[in-house]
Amino acid sequence: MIIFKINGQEIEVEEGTTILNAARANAVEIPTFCYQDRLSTLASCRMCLIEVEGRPRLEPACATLAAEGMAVLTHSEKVISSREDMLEILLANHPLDCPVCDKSGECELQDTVFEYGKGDSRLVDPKRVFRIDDIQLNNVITFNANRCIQCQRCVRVCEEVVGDVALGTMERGLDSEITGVGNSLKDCSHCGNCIEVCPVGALMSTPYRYKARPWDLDKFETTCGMCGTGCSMTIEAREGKLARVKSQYETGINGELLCAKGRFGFDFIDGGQRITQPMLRKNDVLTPVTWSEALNLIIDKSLNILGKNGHIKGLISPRQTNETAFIFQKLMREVFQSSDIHASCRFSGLNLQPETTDILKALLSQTYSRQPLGDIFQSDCILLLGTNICDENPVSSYLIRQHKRDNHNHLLIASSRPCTLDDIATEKLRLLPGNEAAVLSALLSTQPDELAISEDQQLSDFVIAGKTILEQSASVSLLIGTEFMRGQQAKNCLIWITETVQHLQQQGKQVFMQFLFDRPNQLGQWHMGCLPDLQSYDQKSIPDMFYVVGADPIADCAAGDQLEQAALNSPCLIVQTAFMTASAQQAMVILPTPSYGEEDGTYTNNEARVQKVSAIRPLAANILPSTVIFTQLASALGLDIIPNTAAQILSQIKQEIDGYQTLKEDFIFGPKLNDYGLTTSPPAITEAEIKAPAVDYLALENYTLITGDSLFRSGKLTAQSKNLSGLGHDAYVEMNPGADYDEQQDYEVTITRGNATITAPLKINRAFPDKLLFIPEGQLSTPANKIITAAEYPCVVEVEIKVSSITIKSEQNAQS
Amino acid sequence: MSELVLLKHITHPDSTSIAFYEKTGGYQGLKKILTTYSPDKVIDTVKASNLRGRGGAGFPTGLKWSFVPKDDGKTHYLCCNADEGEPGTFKDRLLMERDPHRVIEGMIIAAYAIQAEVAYIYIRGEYGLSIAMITQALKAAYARGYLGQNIFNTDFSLNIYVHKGAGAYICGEETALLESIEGRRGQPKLKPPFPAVAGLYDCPTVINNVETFVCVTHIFARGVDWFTSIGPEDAPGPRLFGLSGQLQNRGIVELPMGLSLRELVYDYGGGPLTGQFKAVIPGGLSAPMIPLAGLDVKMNFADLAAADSMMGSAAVIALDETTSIPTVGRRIAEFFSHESCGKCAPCREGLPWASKILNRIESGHGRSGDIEQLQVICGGVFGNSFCALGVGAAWAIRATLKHFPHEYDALINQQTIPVDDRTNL
Repeated sequence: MIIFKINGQEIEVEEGTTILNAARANAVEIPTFCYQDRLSTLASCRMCLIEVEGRPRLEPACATLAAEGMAVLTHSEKVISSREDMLEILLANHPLDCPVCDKSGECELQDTVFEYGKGDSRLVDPKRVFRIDDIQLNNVITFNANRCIQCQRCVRVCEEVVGDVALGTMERGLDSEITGVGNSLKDCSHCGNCIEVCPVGALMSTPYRYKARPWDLDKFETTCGMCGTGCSMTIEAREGKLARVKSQYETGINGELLCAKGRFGFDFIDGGQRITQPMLRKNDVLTPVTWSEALNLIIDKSLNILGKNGHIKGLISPRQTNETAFIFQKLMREVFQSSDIHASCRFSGLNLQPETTDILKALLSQTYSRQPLGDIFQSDCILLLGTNICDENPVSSYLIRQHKRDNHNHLLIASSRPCTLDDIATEKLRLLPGNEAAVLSALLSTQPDELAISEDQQLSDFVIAGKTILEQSASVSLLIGTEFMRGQQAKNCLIWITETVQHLQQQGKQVFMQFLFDRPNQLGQWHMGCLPDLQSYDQKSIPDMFYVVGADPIADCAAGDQLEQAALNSPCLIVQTAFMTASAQQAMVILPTPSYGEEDGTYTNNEARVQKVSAIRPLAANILPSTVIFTQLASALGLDIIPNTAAQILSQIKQEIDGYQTLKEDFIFGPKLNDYGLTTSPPAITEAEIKAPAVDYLALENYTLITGDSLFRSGKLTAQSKNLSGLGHDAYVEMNPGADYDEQQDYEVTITRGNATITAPLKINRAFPDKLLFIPEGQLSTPANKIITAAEYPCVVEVEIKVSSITIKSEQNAQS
Repeated sequence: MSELVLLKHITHPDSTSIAFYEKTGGYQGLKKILTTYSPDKVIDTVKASNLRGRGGAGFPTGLKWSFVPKDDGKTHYLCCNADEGEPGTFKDRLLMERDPHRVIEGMIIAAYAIQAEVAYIYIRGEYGLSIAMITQALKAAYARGYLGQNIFNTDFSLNIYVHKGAGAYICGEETALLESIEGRRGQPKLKPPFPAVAGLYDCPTVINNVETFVCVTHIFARGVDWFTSIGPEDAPGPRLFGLSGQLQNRGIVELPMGLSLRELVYDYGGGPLTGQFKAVIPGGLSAPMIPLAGLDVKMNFADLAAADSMMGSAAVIALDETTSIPTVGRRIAEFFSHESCGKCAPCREGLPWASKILNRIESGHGRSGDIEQLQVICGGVFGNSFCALGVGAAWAIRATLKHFPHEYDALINQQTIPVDDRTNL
């Protein structure tokens, strides 16, 4: 520890702390522009210059380490005068755009000039002007070069954190200008982090342009509803209309970072076809009815079914909150007498064998690490297995890149598709989903495994190098995607994950394991009890009633999946949803619910952290919160479920759900917490040992189709977003067709399997392994597109590529 | 000084040939060093000679070499800074064009001292002939076994690569030079860490000037005592002075440091072209000018610093009474704002602003308050810029204001165009 003085006050800090961080920790303000915690230090803006007694020149606080006995002055005459000079110099060429600039009101330059500036300017000469009109760098970024103060935050965040390296600087001196190179900005992640970090109005959000002034906006702290990373965000609305999404420094695990889906995708709540009132199928036509008519029908049917010892099945979407899930499973178990409750449409592999749910439950409660990502990224070795993290959990991938820059640890990636993290991976492998168990088995085995001596060079290199790295690592983090849950190997993979963690722990290593879910509350639903009791129910039998909350099994399930069949064939399908879906079209009863952003609740993220989801606007008339629907049904069927508000339900969850006891409490008066804290692992229970079975490795030999999220799509919902729809192709087949096909031509690909066929434009990705095809999930959601059948994942298909018969006009962005 | 040493063979028609170089003793010092000296002994010898770097900063060379960590397992790099961007400086060009082997031999000795296996010569792109001569000399040196693997059958190997600059003064700044070699934008880096600890590709790196390497060969050829007997104690050894501007004899002259500026511009420079000298810039454009009254200042590091100027690259630019100082001030501002890398706000924004004001003053559109504003801008840039470019520019401009305020005032007061008419700015 070091003791030094700031403005006469003694301060103690750890060695290696900069003066700036020491000051901030002690409430001493030092203005900055180019400094940002996450990014490399530049010390180029010179705003943070402070006086160190005994030194002739002022020193930059962001780059100078505190030393024992140092005496720092942050408000001496010299410092104040230097700040005034720096600001006057910055304002010399900065245009007087405040009245027409989107940043006005939240501009760091404005704020700093107001606090530290001289108050007048003696510039009489003409300012440097790049151009009069703003440029559209791409669909979401508008750029005004005149306002740029060359802090390089945008360049650094794109290079060091996001990894796209889409922005650079051209020319030098006063002609310096931020720019893309070639198509870098057309092809970039469109995460908008460059916009977020820009201190002035140089980089601006195109969807938000000219929509509001910051002081007009109502701000709602909430958690993102796209993937399981659980980024904290601030949704800002003007008079009830969604204006934009921002991310705050120092808030949440993501700080100022978001991805394209999180930042630009939430206009999906204003798209699609909204259900505005309950509907009943009468004479095969969906007819609007009153709430009491709809609920009474459900009650009558339920009583009937319960009287005959019939079967009621439940399905809830992993985008629903913990509160909704908790009350739903109470309704299912205590009123409908059923524990056949599912929380996912896509993981067909989990329903194949009855023991799978038990194995999953044990893994979630005993093996799963409930730790902050920041701790998990410190391990000597991070293994990303079976995850397409850059598309499914983009911000988690940004955080990995940033931590690897600082920690220099080993990153092993074994995934089905290439991604931008490949360029910093120690070893990487393209792996068909389902092979996760085989790879884990190979990495743990002490003998040369058949994978290690395989003819597939990439595979054997990965296994041999991976083994060595694991041996040498004192700490290991396993971050595993959920793609394997779609296929036959789901159970074996779960067993091998548990086996791997135990094996490495027995070797004395510190081991972390988390899933990287591609939906915001998958873990929460499972914690709340929305896991089917496969031992008690024959999954093939059609239920007498199928209660679906927020999900769309008819569209989202693979063809022939038991949940899809249940929805198609059950005599009573109830769909509780905000938007019209394929399942709702077939329902007996449709009950309207709030969409994301219309009710309070919580999500449990990949870290097993519980975070707040907020309502940003009131419910429309005639919409009831899901939990109210459940409690009304329960009450009519003889069970009073008392907790009603989100806060009350959360208290109940704290009492009843294992691991949720340590969550923080909201204050009675004051704003609600954003972060209720990590849940804790329930006490260990001795389970029967399951021997990890030998597994085969499936090589990629024929054309094989996989699916999942893309950079701009999270399931079907994001297709409702106008912002995101304009970004990527809406329909495509991604593959590496070989050297015979070049980027100058437009091609289309026809994929056939059995009776199903789909044709879409070809998207060439030369980094794809030969014969692997990818179609984003949302595209497979219409019956005609149901190529993938339940649990047969990945699937072999027939492929035909020809020159496109449709002229595809790619959208050119307006450039001035 | 009796005999020329640095320039001894410059005018000989064969001075660039390796055969001539060997005949006059070239590469024999190297052989002796590689076969009989330890690297530490080489460093100690250069330290004892008190050789000060000839690039501009004048940092003691032996001391710089001693900062390189030994036995750290990392690759060590040596760089020769042949960017020679400081206006008024053309000595390195002469050495590279006319005595390239001496530069190379000096580099090999230095590389051996710091245990570097890779060296770069960063030559400014405009120096076509220097690049050609050095390239040719390197080829000849490789052919004779003075470069490459196991030189003189010792364990020491060295490869030297030529890296061409692309027209940026700022790449003469050592960390910007390293960035440029790595393929990045030529912008200076934060120090610490210093290049000797973390330089090129984060490895220990020493950067020295062309003339410094040439001096090194002579120190070993003629001895430390010879070197320290020349010139003042704190700045020994022969030095190449550039003489340019409005004086009779323009060119390079080799002299010990310590003589007065007056002696330099009159006895060697032949006196002014017209009338009297008005001011002399002693060390390249970024060195504050010395007015006529101050010409007795001695040409060494300490004395010039005490006179609020600097030795710099010993590039003397003389101005006589036909020169308008505001024009010089304007030219200084324009040059440095054009060369500014753009990294830090004061230099990037402040120097062009100063340049605009000085342009206005020079063309008769100056206003009251302009001088005060120039002082404010120079003050803001001087203490606060990221690297020495801003410092030098502000310092040099301020010197013109300090010594010749009357010339500026005259231009401002004698305006022929009313202040309100800005259309002609």
